[in-house]
Amino acid sequence: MSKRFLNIAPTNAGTGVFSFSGAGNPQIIFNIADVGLLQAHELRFQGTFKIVDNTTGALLVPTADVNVDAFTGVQSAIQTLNIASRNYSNRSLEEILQYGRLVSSVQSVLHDKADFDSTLSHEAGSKGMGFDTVAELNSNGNTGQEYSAVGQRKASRIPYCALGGKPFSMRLVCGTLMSMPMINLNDLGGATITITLAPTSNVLWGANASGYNYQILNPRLVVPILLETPAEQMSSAQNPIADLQFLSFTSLYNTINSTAHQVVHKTSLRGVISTIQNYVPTGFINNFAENGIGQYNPQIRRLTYHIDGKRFPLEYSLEPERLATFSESNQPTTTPQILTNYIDAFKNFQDVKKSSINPTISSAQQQVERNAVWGTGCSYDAVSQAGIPAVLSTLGFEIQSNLLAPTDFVTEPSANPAPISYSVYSYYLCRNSVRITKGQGMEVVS
Amino acid sequence: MDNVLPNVLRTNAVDENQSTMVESIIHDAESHVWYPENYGKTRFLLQKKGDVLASNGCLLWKVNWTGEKNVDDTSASLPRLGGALSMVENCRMYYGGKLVSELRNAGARIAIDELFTPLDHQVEVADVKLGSNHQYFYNADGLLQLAPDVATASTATREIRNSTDANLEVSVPLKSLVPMFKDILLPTALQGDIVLEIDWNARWTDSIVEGGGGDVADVDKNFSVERPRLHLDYITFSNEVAEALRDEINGDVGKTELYRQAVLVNSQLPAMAGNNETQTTDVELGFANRSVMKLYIQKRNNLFADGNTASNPLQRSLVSDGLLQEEFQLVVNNKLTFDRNVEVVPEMYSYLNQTGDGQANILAGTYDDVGASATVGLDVMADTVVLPSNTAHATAGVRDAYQGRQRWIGINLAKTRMGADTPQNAVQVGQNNMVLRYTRNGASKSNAAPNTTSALGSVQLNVWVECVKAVVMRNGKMEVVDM
Repeated sequence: MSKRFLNIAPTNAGTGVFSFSGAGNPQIIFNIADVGLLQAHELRFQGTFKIVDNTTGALLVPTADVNVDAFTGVQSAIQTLNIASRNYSNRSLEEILQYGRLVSSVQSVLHDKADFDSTLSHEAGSKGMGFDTVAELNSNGNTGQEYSAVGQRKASRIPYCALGGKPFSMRLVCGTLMSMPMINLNDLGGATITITLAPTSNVLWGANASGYNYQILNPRLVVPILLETPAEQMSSAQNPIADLQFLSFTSLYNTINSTAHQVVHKTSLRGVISTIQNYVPTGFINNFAENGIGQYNPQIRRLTYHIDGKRFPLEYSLEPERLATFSESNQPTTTPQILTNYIDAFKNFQDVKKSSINPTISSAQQQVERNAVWGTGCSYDAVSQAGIPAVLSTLGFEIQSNLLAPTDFVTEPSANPAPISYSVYSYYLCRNSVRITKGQGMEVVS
Repeated sequence: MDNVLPNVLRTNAVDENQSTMVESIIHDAESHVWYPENYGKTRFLLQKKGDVLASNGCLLWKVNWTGEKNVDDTSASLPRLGGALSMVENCRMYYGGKLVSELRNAGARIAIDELFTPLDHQVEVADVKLGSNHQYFYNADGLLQLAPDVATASTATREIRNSTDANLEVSVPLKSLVPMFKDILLPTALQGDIVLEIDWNARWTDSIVEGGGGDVADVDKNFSVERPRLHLDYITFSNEVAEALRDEINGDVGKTELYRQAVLVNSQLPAMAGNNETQTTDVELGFANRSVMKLYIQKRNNLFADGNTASNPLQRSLVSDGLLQEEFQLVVNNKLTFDRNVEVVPEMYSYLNQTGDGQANILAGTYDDVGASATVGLDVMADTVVLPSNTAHATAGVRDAYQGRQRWIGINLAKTRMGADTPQNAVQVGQNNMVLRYTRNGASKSNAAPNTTSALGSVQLNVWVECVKAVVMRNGKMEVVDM
């Protein structure tokens, strides 16, 4: 058995330039042959990310106010990720819509600022926001709970201005690749990974962002595989049936227009493990002036999770401590009930030793400054992790919130600030089992 | 009562054996010699206590600036990233006269291990152990600013003094010095002495960083390692376990355990004659018919960016310089490991990230473009840092010394990655030697200033190949076998 790192070019490479709004194709398709064992954790999507002036084609300069989401980096350029079998092409293993928002949640919950700086920034340019080391606390004349957000935003921007663009080599955040350390490509009949690029207006933001677009140059997929010996191939070939167990994310989108709103999803999923949601004012989406991948709290007053209209998995409502007479910026709570359950949706919150979630970065002020980490979620099956059946059920949540615009966070409630529309992105993590009958097809077992 | 409780009600059910005992001792060196600007050597003759020598010991020593004049604003400290590791040259362990473990250029190799600990650990633990300083912050200009060091004679200063009671004290885990301890514990009942030897790097320009406003005179560049000692743990098992172990290692069949050995292969990339010259060098690594787990590569320009000095003034020997248009390839069993040469820097980082146990935590800016940027505004780091000294004095040259200077390379050949790598997970190399193919080009296409004398100059290549060995403990003796 020997190990090789395949370096696969897109099947639709063309000139090697991919872009949503500039020159080039907005979709990148990679085909992986049906040979060997794929080491899924080590698969990487790589290329060069370039931000260029719409008119002159000149590279971004650090003085221009053009930003990419700090928690997502180059990952924010992906709108949709689809993983499917090549041979059984009518079957997708996983399709994640609004991929950037999922990555934003996953990375900000499971990595702290130091992680972003020392690992994720090398892979995808995402430097995060917040405190790196104790030195950050005492720098720039800070008085304990601040950091130089302006400085950190510039720091995030500088690598994108590098001559030739920002090279990247990043993991693809999805249940399929994260849950199966080894995928027998022969059993799967090869794989097709399709990446659809995100609108420029949802990737770049800032005062000068509308004058720029992004490009991805020479994308490649680095695929580590173990090549089996002839004896192992023979042994594998003699078994015509193969079972695959893996996790996948299902993504859904809703808008919340009412301060008392019910979100209901008919997911038709079998083993649902957890759900997460993140929120953004609807007007911030595809808006060059705002970070479309930013995370916001719609000022939740009460949140109740349901299955078929009954409270589940929590028998109680999450009701953060709020003072009705205080403006949003002056609310004292750090919403621990909500954020603890949010973390629990990724893994047992007691096992999460570091996270970007903290009282500073999750505060209302950081939402106003577009640097925040905030979301909701819960684990449906924290004990066995087998997931709950929801094929015939409806999953959802009831949300009571103030829906204030971030600019109104400082407005006193007595002034009756008007609510706005918020968008909520829901992701369900579920367990799948499929049976592949070689040469015939793939069927979902559970 | 315990017996009737089902296990599911216990949060942390463990099979506890109270009869295992641990004895911790401080072990002074049998001999210690020091020749300034040349080398130092320390020899420990380890006591044979308990049943096994545990892996969680450590080596401690003090660093003394023998040549300190303390008359003007000069100071000495250890490199910020890695600290005292720069002083450890080689480490060997013998058992019964047989060499069971050897780690050459140990300091740099251990510095790679330190990368695979979380940055919080580097800041909060490694800085205490090693006399390093990983603290930084982003200033209002968006530049990564290395945090100022504490001044002389303050609490937690990293300054090295000439003093019998105010030396900087540092420690390195035994597991790092003797990698076999990552895989096995060492029975103490076998025949022969257990000897640990440390070779020290006594050269100022490899180990010590100068700060302050004045230059240290050559005659004063004289430091020493004082009172090296080991903190060791010996484990004594219950009688039944100890007897079973003794019976096994004294029997004819014996006990065989696999462990890892990091073998250093040195090579050079020759200097390039001119700009735009592409140079490819094949380094024959060897290891035919051996089991190999992974490789780590350090590259050191033989001339620093200033074109005058041989050593990085702020990081000393704990660097791995990024090369201009660097590419590499590994040939194993006559097959290319990578479809295409690895030439994208984040891809190199990804491979390094997959090589250690955990993710590689490397300071932003120190892995990417090399040296100070030729284009205004594209530097990642602020150029000055305050090192320990009598008066706060900003030392310039951080960009040249740090940017792109931590570009360590790692290649993992493990068959499966289900957590930490083990010797059982190694790949068998066939009849042909492994070959590392290194390519570089004198023209820069990155931010860095191209074609400096340093970048075109020769490069020292240190490749640690982590391979598998076995100890066979039989008839009361130890044998070491290559796998």
